[in-house]
Amino acid sequence: MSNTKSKAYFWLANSGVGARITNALLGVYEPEELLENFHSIEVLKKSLKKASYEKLSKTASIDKIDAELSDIRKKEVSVVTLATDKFPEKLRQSEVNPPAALFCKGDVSLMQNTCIAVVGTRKCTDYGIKAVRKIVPALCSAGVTVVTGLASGIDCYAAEAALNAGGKVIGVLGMGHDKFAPNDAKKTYARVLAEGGLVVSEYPPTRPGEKYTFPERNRIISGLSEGVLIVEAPEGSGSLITANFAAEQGRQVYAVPGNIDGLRSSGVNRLIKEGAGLVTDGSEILADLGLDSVKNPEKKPVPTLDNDKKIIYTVLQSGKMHFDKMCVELKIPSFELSRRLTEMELAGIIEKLPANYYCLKTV
Amino acid sequence: MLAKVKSYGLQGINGYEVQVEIDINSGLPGIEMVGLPDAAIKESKERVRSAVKNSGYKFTPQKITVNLAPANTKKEGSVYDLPIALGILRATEQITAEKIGDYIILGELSLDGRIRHVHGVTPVLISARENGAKNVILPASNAAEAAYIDGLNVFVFDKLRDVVEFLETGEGEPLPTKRAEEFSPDSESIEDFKYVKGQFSAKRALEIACAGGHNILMIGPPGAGKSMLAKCIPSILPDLTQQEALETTKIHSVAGTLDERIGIIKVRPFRSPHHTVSAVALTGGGSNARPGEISLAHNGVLFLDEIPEYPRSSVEILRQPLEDSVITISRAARSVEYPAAFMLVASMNPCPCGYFGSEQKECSCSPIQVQKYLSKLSGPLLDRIDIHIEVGSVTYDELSSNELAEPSSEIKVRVNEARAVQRQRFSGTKTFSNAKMSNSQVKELCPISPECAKLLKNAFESLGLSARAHNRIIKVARTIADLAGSEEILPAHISEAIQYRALDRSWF
Repeated sequence: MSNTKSKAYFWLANSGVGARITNALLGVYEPEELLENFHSIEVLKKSLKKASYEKLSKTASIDKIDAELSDIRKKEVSVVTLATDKFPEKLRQSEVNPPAALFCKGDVSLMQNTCIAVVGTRKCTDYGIKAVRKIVPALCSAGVTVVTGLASGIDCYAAEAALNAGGKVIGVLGMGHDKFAPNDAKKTYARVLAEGGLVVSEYPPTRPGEKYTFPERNRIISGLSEGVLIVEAPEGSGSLITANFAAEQGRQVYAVPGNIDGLRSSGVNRLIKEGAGLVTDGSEILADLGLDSVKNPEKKPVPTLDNDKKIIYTVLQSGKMHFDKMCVELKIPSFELSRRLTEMELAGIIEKLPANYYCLKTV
Repeated sequence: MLAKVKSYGLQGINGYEVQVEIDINSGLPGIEMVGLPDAAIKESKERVRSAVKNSGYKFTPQKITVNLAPANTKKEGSVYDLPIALGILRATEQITAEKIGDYIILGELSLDGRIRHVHGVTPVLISARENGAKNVILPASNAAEAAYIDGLNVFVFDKLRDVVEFLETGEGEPLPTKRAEEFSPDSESIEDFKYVKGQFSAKRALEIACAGGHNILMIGPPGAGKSMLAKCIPSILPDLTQQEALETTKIHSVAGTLDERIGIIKVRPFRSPHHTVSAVALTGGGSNARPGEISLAHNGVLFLDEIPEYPRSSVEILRQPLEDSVITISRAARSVEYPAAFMLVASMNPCPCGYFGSEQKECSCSPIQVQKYLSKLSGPLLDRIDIHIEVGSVTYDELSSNELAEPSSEIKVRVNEARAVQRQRFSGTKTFSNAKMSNSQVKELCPISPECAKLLKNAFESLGLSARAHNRIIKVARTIADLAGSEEILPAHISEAIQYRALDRSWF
């Protein structure tokens, strides 16, 4: 980063004063002007809160900035500021209230792609996971990049489903990279980077997550995307905040409906009532946004199976079925059914679900 | 005069000879007991005094010393009343009874001279016989139990006077022995599988578990029927063999849980202690090293309903016996070993709210909570459970149908046949069932064809089964093959065995 403008943006982002104050300042001053003359601008002492003033004043020197930058580079974090083309246009929109810079790990160019956000609750159910696995692959096969918060639950399942389908993922963190915490999500984080993805954060690497940073980063999730899909969310879920930002920013909002008495469905069902697009298939989102979709065959061609297994395959085509019910419907003794099911599982034709249910294997 | 009478004591389920010696000396009158007697034995002197007097003999005040040899072993129980009384009668020269030394004598005395029932007759007789004894005198109320032990002349009596008369005259017939005919439970008293609707997978898993003695864990929501299925297990357990019956009887005799009118354990024990059971009650111990639930369940079933409710410390103690089929109870002076080869049947909910995977009710737990719930049971304990299945609720339609399902009696026929095959396989060894095979026995007796090995490898890789499941699946497959009457383990048997590893699946 050679020019002062970039360094100034970096200084603002790294100081921790937040996007709102940053954008207020940038509305009045040019960034390099602000940096070079910071200590001599009297009015700032009065108009900024003491804490914010301190944060900016402490680091308002080129030497200090260079030192910080080199520390951050050592962590393999790249800094993308408003000064560069790499900072996506869609994020510069004022309704987004963009940060002055993004701290990134991975392939920064992904932000220029067509993106769709897939978010949801941390306490997801089987249904939510299934919905993610059904819808996300269709988006990926059309070349869409999936954006998500990398929270445990729906966010991580969405990232995994996208990677499994050979797609690209952008994760947006609610804390600095060093402070990424949830244990199960760490694996997903690592996988995203390993498979050519991108993880961004508006917070400097050492900044831990706080109560307000999580809702705050949701505006970036929607800001990077053409549309936002909420998969499963009870009232009060943070993913609903992402839906709000999307609406404010003029992005499309989609939701997967849930059971009317379901614990986790109250939020998404409300969104649908308020006008979010009801989605049951990935192709619907693609069609709505005018993106090309790869033809998804309705049913996979029935693999060649001997009769023993064919009857099981047929009965599962209408959906999952309990082991005992299969025994009764197909009139096969329990031990014979168990054997055939194992063989079909090992051949990748069916999957076993909790509570002794079986279903056809989807990708 | 010095009198000596032979008796027997017990350490665990092993009997050892106790020599009761009576000496009359000069000195202050009273009875002095030596040889580490416990409280019950110390009280003997009161019982003996009254019994002797009320049987018409004299009990004049003298200094009587009673020694129970060997001196440094703690003696327990009330079995020495009768030998002490007889010893005193001989020492005071009120009876001659020259042949008294030929007999092993046990019995508790009432104040009126009647002889009362004692515990532990079966293990005592078996040990006595092993040690070369020929003749035994016992209480009449122990007749039923003693009748099942052959190779000894057992004489039973109701009263002290009768014993004396027998010893003086030598006139009396030994007890006729009998063999236990039927080792089947009374079909009226237990639950039958014919009344259990649906649950095909669970019933099959239980059939396999009973046939091979495999430990089994049932996971399912409340009300799914896990406890009910468990209650039906006694109706399909294989019949006890003569040898197993005697072993089991030994333990129950020591514990005092044997019905004295029947005198032998004819059906496999089914023990289901409540989850408030203490660790000592579960494994055995206490001041008199009493056998615990796991030993009372020897050759039978130990059922722990809602296993996460049991204190972790108690459940962890099960690891040794599950592995070695014995439990060692340590006491201050020595340790006692009891057999504990039981089949563990356990049930639990899949998650804190209980409804994970249920179609009837939505689960309110996060995936992490589900995974954490299972970690309440330790890995090493779960490792020793061969079969884990998920048991779900049955739909209303299935419940209200009037058709009866396959009756227990038919299932039991298959189970018994499979057990017979195992007896053949393990004849000459101390193993009775496939589940108790050691790793070397598995290697030797359960060779795996290349086709089966390939199937197993595939399963481990694609389904995420854990490596320690390997031998367990083979043992279960061996039982499945036995049930199918097949000498070799076929891929079909392995395929089925793989379905009984619910906990190895990714959602747990």
